[in-house]
Amino acid sequence: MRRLLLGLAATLLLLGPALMAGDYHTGASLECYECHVMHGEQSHGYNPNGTGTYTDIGASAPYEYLLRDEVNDLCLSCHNGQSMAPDVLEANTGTDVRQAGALNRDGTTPYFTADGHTLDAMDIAPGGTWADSASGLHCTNCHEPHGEPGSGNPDTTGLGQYRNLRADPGGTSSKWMLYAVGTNDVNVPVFERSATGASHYDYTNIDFNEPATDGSHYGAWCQGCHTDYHGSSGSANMGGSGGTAWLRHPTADADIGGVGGVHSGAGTFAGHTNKVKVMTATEDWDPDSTAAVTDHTPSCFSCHKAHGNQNSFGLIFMQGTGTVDEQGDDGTEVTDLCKQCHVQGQS
Amino acid sequence: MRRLLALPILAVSLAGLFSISGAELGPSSIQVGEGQAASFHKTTAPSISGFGEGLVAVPPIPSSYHTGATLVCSDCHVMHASMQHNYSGGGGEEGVVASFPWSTTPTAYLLKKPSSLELCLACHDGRAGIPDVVGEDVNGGTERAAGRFGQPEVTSHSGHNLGADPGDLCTRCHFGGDPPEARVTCIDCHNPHGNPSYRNLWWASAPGSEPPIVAFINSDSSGMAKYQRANVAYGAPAAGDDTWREITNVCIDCHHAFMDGEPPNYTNPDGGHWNRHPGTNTEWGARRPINGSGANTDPANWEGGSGPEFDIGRLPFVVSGANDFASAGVVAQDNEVFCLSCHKAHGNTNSFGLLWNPGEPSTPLEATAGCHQCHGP
Repeated sequence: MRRLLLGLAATLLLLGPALMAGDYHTGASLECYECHVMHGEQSHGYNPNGTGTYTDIGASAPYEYLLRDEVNDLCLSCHNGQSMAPDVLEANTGTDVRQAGALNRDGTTPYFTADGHTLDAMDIAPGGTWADSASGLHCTNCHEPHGEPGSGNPDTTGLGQYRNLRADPGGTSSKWMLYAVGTNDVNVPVFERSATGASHYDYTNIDFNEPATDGSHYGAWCQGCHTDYHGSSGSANMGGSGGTAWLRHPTADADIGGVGGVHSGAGTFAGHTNKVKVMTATEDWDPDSTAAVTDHTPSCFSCHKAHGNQNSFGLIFMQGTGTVDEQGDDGTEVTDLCKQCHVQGQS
Repeated sequence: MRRLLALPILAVSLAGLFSISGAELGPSSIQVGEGQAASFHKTTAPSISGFGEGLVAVPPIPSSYHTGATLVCSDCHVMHASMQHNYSGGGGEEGVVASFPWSTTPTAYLLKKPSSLELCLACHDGRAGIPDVVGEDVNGGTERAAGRFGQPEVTSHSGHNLGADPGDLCTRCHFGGDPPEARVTCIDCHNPHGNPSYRNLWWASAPGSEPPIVAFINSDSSGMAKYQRANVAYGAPAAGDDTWREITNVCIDCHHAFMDGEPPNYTNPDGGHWNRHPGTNTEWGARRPINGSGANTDPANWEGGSGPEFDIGRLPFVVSGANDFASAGVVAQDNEVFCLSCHKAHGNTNSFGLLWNPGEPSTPLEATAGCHQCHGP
């Protein structure tokens, strides 16, 4: 039976302010024994009298890297079905609407393997060539388990990478995903309003800046595996300049309403009560219908949940009205999502 | 469509375009070039956004597919040029994709096929339950209102030539173009994202600038029957009503030299006699009832409809001021002739897409049946 690290939870509360240096699994919150065991077995807790809870050892111990279990099972021992850690697999233990959505694993309804990233999957990443053919997709393919920001990371705040995302996804390098907490910094791609509390991972707590108008750090990061799906206008795989229309949906370098005419409409986007996430340098992520929407740019997260959800491809069917959940809102199909921005056929 | 613009005629036409003022010519002076072709149309179209807002003169237009709620982005577009599975999460057929995983060459506008023509025909050729526009009708209908195209990229003498990359609109025929070989693609005439007009029609020369284009479908018909000749009728706005146009208003964009108008014009350049067959073209002020003065017709024969020339079926006609299928189907001596009286919009198996076979030597009557309906036996 998995045992909750209650002692750790208490420690977390005491170390609250220190968590600002990165959210968790980094710096002062990187607790070795949460994940590692020295001798492949453990007979009692870490308190002097032998009490204290600890993560169970997997049935096939010892595991490589002195881990307590296989990587995915180890991560999920806290990150699935536990109230003290963000729940990332399928149904949410918490009440937040997860910005990243939900991973799937076994294809159990309603979280089918077609609905997002599938743990343990051996498949080649769509649009790329990367796959983990040895052990299948696991958490540390995307998240750095020790919170290492990556050699050469330009971060000066000590926060490191947003959500401990690896700086080398898919074998690439220098995929920086810096973020600001509490007070925004428009020069970093992600703004996290609070690093604590029940809404820490809620979609309302996260927004995206646009440090460069012709690029997306987020898109570039995803491109580590999904190679062909991202890029700026003019790149061979994307099109979008030099007389060539876009060949794939832009993930950067294309403002809503930027072309004019019957393409996407800034007013269309602003007119929705519920809006998908977009990048902007103006910090006005929820413009009203009277605002001058001029630099709102979609990227991967505009259409997809990073982990997935209950919709095919992890798409967010956000029609614009109704209660927001991880699937979108009152929307029921992909066309609802398209109409967040696009005006074709709506005259 | 093989066009009658033989070189001499073409030369005269072009010379006339540059030496005759707009007032003399009738329609606006032709200016060739991107963005300028809208001058083919004399009437400034009311804003589409105004449609339904006070435009009480516009008859109700039956909604088409590919518009409003039936405009499904994923029918035609793919975001990343590949899909591991369909939108239901499986690998089975979905729309134009036979199976998954699937990928395609990244195409402009994120289309699922290398060209818009190929994309359209992936559904609209040979798929039951979808209007079939090429060759034999897979839906087994009696006669499609618009007829049928021949195979793409093959010059047809019986209708419009389909082509995936037809090029600039004007230079298909002008300035070195070859009219008989000129190609059209679906979205020249049909708005792929739909609009309020009949069959999503729009102006090839200025797409989106057109007024509502109206024709009427029998409300008692459904499914593929809505595309049959027997279930479509044609009206034209009454004199003075510029809030909508008849279906053949879209023909002006390419076939302007064949279009009728207030004299002098292409069909009657000196105001004296016809050089080209007249036909109702309300935008240019031409209204051509069969019983019109000087028409040299037999209106009673037309109205009677009993001669052998009617064995091919009564030719389509226009009723000015009609506002529904019933009123547009009333036979009378003042019914008007227009392009579709004689030609299938897409084409058929007869030369020029005519509704009768002019090349049938063994039955002279059949070879001229259409003519006789209006001009008497």
